[in-house]
Amino acid sequence: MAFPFTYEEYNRKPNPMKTLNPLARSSGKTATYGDRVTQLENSNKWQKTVRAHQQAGRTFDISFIPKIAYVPLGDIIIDKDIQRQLEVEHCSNTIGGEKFDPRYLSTLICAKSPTTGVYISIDGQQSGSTVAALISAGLFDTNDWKTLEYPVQYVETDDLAFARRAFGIVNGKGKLRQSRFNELRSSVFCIRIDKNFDDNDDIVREGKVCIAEKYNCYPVEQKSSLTQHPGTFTYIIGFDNAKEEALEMLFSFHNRYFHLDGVHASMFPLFRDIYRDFKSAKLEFTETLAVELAGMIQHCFGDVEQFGKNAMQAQTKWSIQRYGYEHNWSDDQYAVVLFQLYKKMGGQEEVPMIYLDKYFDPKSNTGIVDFLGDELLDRAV
Amino acid sequence: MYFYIIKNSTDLGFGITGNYESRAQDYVSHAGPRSGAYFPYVFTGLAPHVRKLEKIVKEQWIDRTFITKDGWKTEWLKDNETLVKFQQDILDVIKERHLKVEVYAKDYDFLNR
Repeated sequence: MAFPFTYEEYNRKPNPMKTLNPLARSSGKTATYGDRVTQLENSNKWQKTVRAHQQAGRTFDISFIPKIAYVPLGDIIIDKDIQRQLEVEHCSNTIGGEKFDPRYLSTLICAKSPTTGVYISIDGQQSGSTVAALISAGLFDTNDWKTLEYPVQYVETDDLAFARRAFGIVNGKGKLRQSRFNELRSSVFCIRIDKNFDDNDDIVREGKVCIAEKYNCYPVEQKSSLTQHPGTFTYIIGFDNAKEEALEMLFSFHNRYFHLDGVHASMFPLFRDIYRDFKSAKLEFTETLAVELAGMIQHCFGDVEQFGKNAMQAQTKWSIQRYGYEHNWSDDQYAVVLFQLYKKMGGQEEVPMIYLDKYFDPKSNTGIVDFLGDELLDRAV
Repeated sequence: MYFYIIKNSTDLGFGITGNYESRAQDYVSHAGPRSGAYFPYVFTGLAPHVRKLEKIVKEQWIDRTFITKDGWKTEWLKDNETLVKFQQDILDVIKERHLKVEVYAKDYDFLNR
């Protein structure tokens, strides 16, 4: 019996991302603080913030802006009740590891007591400790870390509550972290623009971006207007963690069958598992299987994203019936739902048995797939 | 599941709902009986396909929708959009994307039923 879903081709359109790709080249643009002020002043949110300050009668003293000093490392106190413990692994592997370069160090942040003149470290003890220990080990061109005048950014206060809050702000709360996309862009530009091949991680990441681009797929920033274009994706952590071979399969499948859409996040765990499990089972992910899966997704769900959402909803219903409570979604369930549905719809291509056993209750002969909804399951063989 | 186009005396918009009659009542409750609102088109189809249609309009046609100064993306279109153009584009995209969605009702005038 023929598989009931025949994939219907979409007319291919020119993808604007070929010219808009933010990783293809540097924008070459710069901005001044004047430009940024104008941008803020044109924003409703900023205007509201300014009005709120004005209505509350708040004004600010420029003398409170942090100051900069060079302070001997031996004179700085680390308040254990404010800072974290020393992270030996972080100092050994990350800060002081093989990629250590003094130029990557940042200033220490301290509260300086106006009464005693003592500097209390609020942030940066891991860096400061690493530098001191490297000097102590004779790896710097100076002998005494205690007298090393280290750059410190400080505010004068005896209020330790302020120091505690400041530590929270510097280390997360209130700080805008660099996005995953920005990290990726830095790696790619080190290779593509700076022609610097010192870091193997940068080389690997740029290589993965090349795989994506080969299939008209493009990583972009999460809230970017570029997400409206086909082939874009924002799930950078899934992309970073994927093996090159899995990415080849994923982007090739997307470009062949769903080239009018963005690349949905579910594709990353799905093809991670397809690559791994077909290889383990010594099975080939055949062209026939690929086109039948694409046809099934197209006919039953419209696209991969809707497949993913429906799979998650079905899992919730299934876990409530099976276990009596709503169990957390696990991303290996995408592949399980996809291949169980494929078999339920009469698919004849061979697939790893593990997909048919997992998340399936042999007693009741039901799995997640049986909760996809009657509207869809009525089409089953 | 339904995808509808809504038109009132000033604006053109869209939305999805599981119950278009109840959604029409919501519009009457919010905008009053003299808003001139009606559904020029109601489409129906497989729920994932209707959601896909809505996603195309909301994300791939984001430049056509009205966004407030605060960045809130509404389900209303910009002033230069016309009903004729919008409904034709919807029909075209259904065909182009092979969506299992079809016209269910035209000119559903819920204020004058």
